[in-house]
Amino acid sequence: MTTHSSSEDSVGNFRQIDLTQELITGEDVIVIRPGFKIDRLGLPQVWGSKDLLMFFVLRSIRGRYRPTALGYGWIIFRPLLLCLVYVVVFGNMMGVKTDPIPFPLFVFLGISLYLFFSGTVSDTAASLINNAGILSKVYYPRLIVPLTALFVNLMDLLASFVVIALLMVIYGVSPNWDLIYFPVFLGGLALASFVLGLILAAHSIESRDIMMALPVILRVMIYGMPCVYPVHMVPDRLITLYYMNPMASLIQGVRWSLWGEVSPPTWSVLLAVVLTLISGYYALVVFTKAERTMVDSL
Amino acid sequence: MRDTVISVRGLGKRYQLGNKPYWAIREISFDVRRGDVLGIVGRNGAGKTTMLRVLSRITDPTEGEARIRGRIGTLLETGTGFHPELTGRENILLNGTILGMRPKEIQAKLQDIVDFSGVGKFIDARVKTYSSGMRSRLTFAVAAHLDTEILMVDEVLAVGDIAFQEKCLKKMDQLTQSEERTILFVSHSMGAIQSLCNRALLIENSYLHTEGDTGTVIKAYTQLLQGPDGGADLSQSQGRRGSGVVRFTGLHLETLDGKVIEAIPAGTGVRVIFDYESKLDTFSDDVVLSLVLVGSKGHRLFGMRSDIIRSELRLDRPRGRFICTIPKMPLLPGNYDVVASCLIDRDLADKIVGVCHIAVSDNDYYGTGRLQNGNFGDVLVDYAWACEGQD
Repeated sequence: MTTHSSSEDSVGNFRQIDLTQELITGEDVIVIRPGFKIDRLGLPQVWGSKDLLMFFVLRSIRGRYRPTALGYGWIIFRPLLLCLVYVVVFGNMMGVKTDPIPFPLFVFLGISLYLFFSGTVSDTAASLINNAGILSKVYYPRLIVPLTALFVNLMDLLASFVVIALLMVIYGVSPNWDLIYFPVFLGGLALASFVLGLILAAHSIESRDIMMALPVILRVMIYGMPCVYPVHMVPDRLITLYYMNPMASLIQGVRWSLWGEVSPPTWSVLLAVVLTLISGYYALVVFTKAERTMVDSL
Repeated sequence: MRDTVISVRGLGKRYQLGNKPYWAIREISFDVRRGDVLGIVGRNGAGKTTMLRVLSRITDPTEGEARIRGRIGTLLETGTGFHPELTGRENILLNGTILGMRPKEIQAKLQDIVDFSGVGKFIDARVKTYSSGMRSRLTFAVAAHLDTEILMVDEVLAVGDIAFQEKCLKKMDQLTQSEERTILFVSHSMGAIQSLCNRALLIENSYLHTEGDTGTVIKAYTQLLQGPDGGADLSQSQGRRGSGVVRFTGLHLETLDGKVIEAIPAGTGVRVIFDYESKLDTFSDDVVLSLVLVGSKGHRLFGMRSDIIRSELRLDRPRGRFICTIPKMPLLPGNYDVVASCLIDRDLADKIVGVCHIAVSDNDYYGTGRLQNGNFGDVLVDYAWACEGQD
């Protein structure tokens, strides 16, 4: 019995193949090779797959709310219910003052932003593991997977802002010209949350512990940013430390631009920008590295 | 000369098995031209599926390079590029969108896909409620109808009913004939490879063993499985079921008078001989053996079970042979896959599926110099025709 053994034979046979032929080239040729380069991320391909991104986003929104009796109403009810809890506990029982902004409006904005932050981070972080099935069967730009998580949460946030706009009209709270900074701070918050989620997603493949600890950490973090209490309640000696958290200064920035609460100090905004950009690059690097072979360990 | 659409150079993929690195494929190089149907053969675990996974970009290679021109459709394992929570219709849309098609283009093909798959009204049910057969039918339909220039198919014939498997083979044939589609086709069925592919490659122990026209490769594969003396070494083959108390370790063919042969001339007698190894402490009086021959489309042609004919078998030695005698081989010339199992005391001890095959060679079965073609079935029986008039 011959047990065929590997290299010599196959190398022998290998030479029979015509390898002299030029490798195919051209714009439309897909090159598959090992190695890590940032351009592997294929941002143009991600842009080319925007139809696919839209499909996934619409599908997840529909899938999330379709089986419920209240349907899309939950997009609004969820923050409203949480808001109610905080209005009772913080506003009535502890007497937190947020003048001149009415406390319910103050808290609703805070809750919406917090839900967006924690939703984006946890959904993005879990996106690869949750989609392991399809990822191991078919190829499409991998960045689409976490991006879907980001956009689904953005959609929820947009719906909340419709409610906030209504509440602002009802309470007679009007914005000033600083409103032009609103999209900047909101975009910053989205980017920072996404970057954090992306880093966790890349690491979640090797260490699943992240996914266990994450919900707890996210729950605690609501107290680390100005969501359910105004920033002036933070003790003075802690305020510098408090603003080192990019999320805190970004959320305070949203508050400031929307209706003129205290603005975050400039240094903290700059710090948030720098931190987000650096970790953004790091996120793309680790995600690209993980993407190459993540299917092997999913 | 048709242009090259896939070129692979020195491709290798290493996995980490515990602390040990393991090369699933290595130093693989070949070219595929437009319209080729490339069969990929090899034993279980040789690296065929890994290669398709790398070529369809699901996972990266560790070394080497592959270049591909054209949109790739992939059908891996029992075929689920599908999202279980989506309906069949949504999955068709999803797969089309992944391939970069516009919703309108997909809509235009939708009816064809539904018709071909035969899932009918279930198209609006979620895929997770589908049976595995429905799922694989829909996957094949999607892959075959959507706009792919290169189709990679892994063992599509392993599931689904025979009628559908035939439909798939026919469709694949048609795709390459009329649309110049290129197909990479992994199968254990030598018959399917032979009838579909114009070229083939054999992967053995992670390395490319032989590449060339289908006949040459099948011959190389047969020799690989059977060794120079005409027998197959089964001791190393993987993917088996059963407790392993008794294992098949080899297979070869003999004529009724004991001469070793490589192929059975159609209509002659043959002894199919399995070598076995036993780890039984004592003897067993309750041994049931079965041997099934499987045709090119995955259909079982006939089976021979020892308990049906009340063969009383006693196994009391650590090594020996199981012999199945067929007095007259009733099959058309071709390659037939072997499914064999051994039950000891009603427990499955070993089962091999498709790891070896039996070759039937051309012979004048009816003594007329004629044989039916495959359309009339693969099985040869003795028969007579008469015509009687009535008043």
